[in-house]
Amino acid sequence: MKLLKYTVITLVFISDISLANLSLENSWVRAAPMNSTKMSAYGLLKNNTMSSFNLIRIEASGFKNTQIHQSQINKEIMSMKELKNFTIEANSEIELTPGGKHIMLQSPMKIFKIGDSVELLLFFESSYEEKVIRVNAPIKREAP
Amino acid sequence: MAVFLKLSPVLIDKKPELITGKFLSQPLPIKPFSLINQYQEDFNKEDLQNKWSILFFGYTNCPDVCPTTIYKLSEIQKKIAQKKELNDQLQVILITLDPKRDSVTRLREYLAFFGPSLIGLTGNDSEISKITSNLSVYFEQVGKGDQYDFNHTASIFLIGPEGTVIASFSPASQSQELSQDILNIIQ
Repeated sequence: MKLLKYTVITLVFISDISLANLSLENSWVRAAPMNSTKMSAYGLLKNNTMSSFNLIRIEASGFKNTQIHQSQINKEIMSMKELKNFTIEANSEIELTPGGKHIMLQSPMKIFKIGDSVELLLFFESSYEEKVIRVNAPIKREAP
Repeated sequence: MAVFLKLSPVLIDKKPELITGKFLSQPLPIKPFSLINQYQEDFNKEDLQNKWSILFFGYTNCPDVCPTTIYKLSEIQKKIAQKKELNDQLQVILITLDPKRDSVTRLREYLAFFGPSLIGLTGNDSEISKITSNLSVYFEQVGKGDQYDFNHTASIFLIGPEGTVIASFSPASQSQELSQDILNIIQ
């Protein structure tokens, strides 16, 4: 009986690692007025693998176009640019946060309200494999 | 013999230490300008007098920094309005840098989402330039077509009841600290 208990715990533990090797945690989308043409998604991107991954593309349900952008404030000037190359190194994290790196969601095809969610698909590739992160990011007024 | 000295109180106009911004070395007077608010009403420099104003420049198509800042400022305004003596003493104003897309209607719909008390101002390019030049606000359109954006000064300005800019704050400030700094000045 005791042996069986330890076996079950070990299996769950291994399963947890294999599922969580590349993830977007605490994802959320900032709620925006209904006439907004752009919205932003945030979260904590984690790579718990031994390989670095390049982001190939992002799809977001209900939006025509998505890009990775970086906002920055330098000497009081706010600027924003698209990140054409986005890599997450092995065993690292990248925070997607207001005022920093974020997923820009362009041209919404419907009205999104607080409590709705946006399905995000992030397609990555390393030198020898491809991975997809799929999350439902809730629409919130402020960061969770 | 004991000597007792009675010291007269010395009045010193000491400014509070700011965590999130800085005082201007000299208050900067606002020069005349003529804009309209989201209700199609005239708004000019006289509307910045006899109350405190928080001023921010941005545009409604901005997806990241502007909505973050406007939300932060609307929450600060609600918090300060809870203090009875300060109720109606503070106005929060967004001046658009994108009058081509930010019509009166668009500003009204956009700002209503964040709070009923926010003021949005638009107008023609020359009138917007008057106040951006006055406050040394930089802005530059980037991109073409319908999806263009702006690089712009993102500072938050505090204007006193005399109609002069007295301090500026970083938009990246934590809401709690920014709120406390503003309260320390206006209380």
